[in-house]
Amino acid sequence: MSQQSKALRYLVRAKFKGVLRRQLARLKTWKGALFAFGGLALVGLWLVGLFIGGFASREDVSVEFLEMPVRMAIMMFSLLSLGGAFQHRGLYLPAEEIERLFAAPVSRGDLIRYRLGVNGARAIPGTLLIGYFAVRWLPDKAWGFLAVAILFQTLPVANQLFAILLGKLEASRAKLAAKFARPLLFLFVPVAAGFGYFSVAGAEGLEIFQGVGDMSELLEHPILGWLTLPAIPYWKVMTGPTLAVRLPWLLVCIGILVTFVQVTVRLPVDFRELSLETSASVAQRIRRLRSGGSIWMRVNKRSKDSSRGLPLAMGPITAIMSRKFLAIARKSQGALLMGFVVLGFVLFLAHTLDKGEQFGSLGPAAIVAGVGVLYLGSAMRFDFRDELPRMAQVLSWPLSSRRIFLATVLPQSLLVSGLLALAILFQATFLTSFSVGVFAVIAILPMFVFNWSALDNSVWLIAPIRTLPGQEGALVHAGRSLLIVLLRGILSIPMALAFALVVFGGRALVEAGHLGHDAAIVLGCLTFGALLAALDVAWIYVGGFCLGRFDLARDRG
Amino acid sequence: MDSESALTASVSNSVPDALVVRSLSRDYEGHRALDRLSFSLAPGKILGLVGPNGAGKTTCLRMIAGILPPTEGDVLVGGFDVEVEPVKAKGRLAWVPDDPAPFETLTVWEHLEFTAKLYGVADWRTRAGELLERFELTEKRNALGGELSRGMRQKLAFSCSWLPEPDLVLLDEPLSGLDPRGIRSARDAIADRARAGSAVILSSHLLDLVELLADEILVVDRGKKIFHGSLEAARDLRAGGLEEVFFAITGDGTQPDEPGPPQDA
Repeated sequence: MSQQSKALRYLVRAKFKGVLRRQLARLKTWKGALFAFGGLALVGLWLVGLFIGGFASREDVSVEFLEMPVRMAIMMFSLLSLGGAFQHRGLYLPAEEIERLFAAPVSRGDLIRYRLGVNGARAIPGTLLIGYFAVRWLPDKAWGFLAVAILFQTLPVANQLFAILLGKLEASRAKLAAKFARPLLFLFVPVAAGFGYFSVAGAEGLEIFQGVGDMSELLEHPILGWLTLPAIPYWKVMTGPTLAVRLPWLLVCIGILVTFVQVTVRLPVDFRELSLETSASVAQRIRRLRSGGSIWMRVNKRSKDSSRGLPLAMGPITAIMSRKFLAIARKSQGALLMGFVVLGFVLFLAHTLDKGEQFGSLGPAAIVAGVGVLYLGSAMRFDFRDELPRMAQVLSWPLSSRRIFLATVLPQSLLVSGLLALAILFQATFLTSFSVGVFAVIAILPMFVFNWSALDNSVWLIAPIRTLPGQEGALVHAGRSLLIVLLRGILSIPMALAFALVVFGGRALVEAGHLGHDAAIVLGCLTFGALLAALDVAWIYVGGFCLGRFDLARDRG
Repeated sequence: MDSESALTASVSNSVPDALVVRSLSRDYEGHRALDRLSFSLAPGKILGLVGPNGAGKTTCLRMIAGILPPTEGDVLVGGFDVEVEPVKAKGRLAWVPDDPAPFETLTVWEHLEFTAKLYGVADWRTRAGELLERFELTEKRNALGGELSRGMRQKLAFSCSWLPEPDLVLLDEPLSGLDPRGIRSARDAIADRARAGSAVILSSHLLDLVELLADEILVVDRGKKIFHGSLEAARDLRAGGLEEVFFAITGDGTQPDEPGPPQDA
């Protein structure tokens, strides 16, 4: 082993030790300890639940039935992994490593081996999770797990190999091929994911997928057989009837892994320039993620001067709101695209869950509003998360913290409300029908969305989660994230109580014959809207308080 | 004297050059960021690399450090081509970027230990302790990289670069973020490093610093070398300090003219 290789191993060990050290340092404050232990307990409970339920074998499902879904799942993971190479062209090294290691006397091979080692270690949690499913579904648990483990160590290597080759492709005359490879790959992945999901869900016998149709004929199609051919070695290791059948296939899988490693290490491609570019773009994404923002919220490419802005006059609150609207307008491309994808999913989910049999078009519209606010809120974060790099400035503004909170959260709420209103109108036009209920839901949307956004932002101001430079994954935040989800759930209780009060009150009035169905809906929405407005005011006070207590000095990692 | 003859004159010197740069060029998306830059640097000499923003200084240093591949040209460090024998060449150089980013989760001491292992420094502990003392980091020995201020990050980068006692040191804006005491300490350390035999390239906008430390200056503008020579030769072009010389050579910024032909002295 070369001296440099030893140094890189030392670096991995020291970084791991440093992560543990930082986690321990968090325990020194009561809030840090609460989030650490609470989060750990929640993750522990989740994992225990998963495993207790998981070790009940699924012997009712035949190996023949599983073959194609499993092969497709393997292909889907492979394509997802290869797709990731577009984000990490060249050899990805974090910003704090790249210049140091490129300028150091480290051979190309040592550098690639180091990165492959890090990627292999990062794949371990995924291996455990998918291995758990293999253990659950496959007849021979040990071989199932082994095949998954080899596959999940091979995929990062294939990803790295592809990322380096992609760099070569871009640098050569095959730019056109590289340009078309990405959309083709991204088109194939959702289609494969859809097939895999529905086939597995169909096997689970979930009621909600009964209407989707029988997939078995489709799964037997010869084209799918050809497309999933590369998955056969892993499938054979998982399910071969005897050791004599499994062993050669196991050697094939190991051979693929070793070959990929050797080819990657020896590829005569200069990846330095692409790696620098990739590292810079990942660092930029991390900066956005640091504040819990969305990777889709990058500034639009501008083809012409965009000096035309929104009016900034009329006072400090409108000035803050106008600034926010400008940010929305100038970062809208990626965020809106993601928003529409989310809305598509929400509409599909609402249509699957409720086709309007029970409450007419009110039910599906309410589902779009309820589910959509959660997902869109996560996809579009033009709120305080977008402000983290400027929090010192924000706190110095000559305005009460309540007003700053209102002006910062309101634009995001209006944007999400507008998108949800569009989705509900689309749903009523094409999937259900227009009714009083649809308009009532749209009318209370701004109050409802503001309530959730204000609650969400208040929690974030108390306990922001930041992705840190050099952090190799988000697992260190898993416990804290779960705890925050729980906290948001608890804080939504007043809103849920208001909703329950309105529903039960309305139903009682209808059953007593005091009100008709439509009148009950209108009255219910008006009452719920009024209650939400009162809660919104309360949240402005709470959010203002949280903003006032936001501590800039503390490391919020 | 043209650039090639200047190079030849330098190479023919009895002391082998620590660094030889030959016709170094770099293109970015059709734009030439650095255009056929040639110069050499003897051991123990400090070269001040100056030029306006976007002149190509950092690109030049990154190519010398082997971080960025050149479009054309060669870089020899201690006689080893950075592109052909990168491990041997890079083992002789140290690179301090303008905004050093330490590993967030490594302590100051672990940074030094990593550097020592990477460059194969024997008996590094005593020397590392001395460097921490010199750069006033002894108290921060167990602090994490992520906890360091801008100035301390800079001092840590100096300490790590000085540890292997490199033949060539590349410094990109080395004093940014340092307090007055830190500036003095870094300035002395750079001079001491040169006295110990290292060739140093000091890229900085602080012309006073360059004037104080550098034996030679290299002025680049829009990717082209417009002056290379001793400070005395630079002063012959225009009376006054380096600032006056710099503005005389590069213009005062109001003229959008192309840079003139290179002057070697």
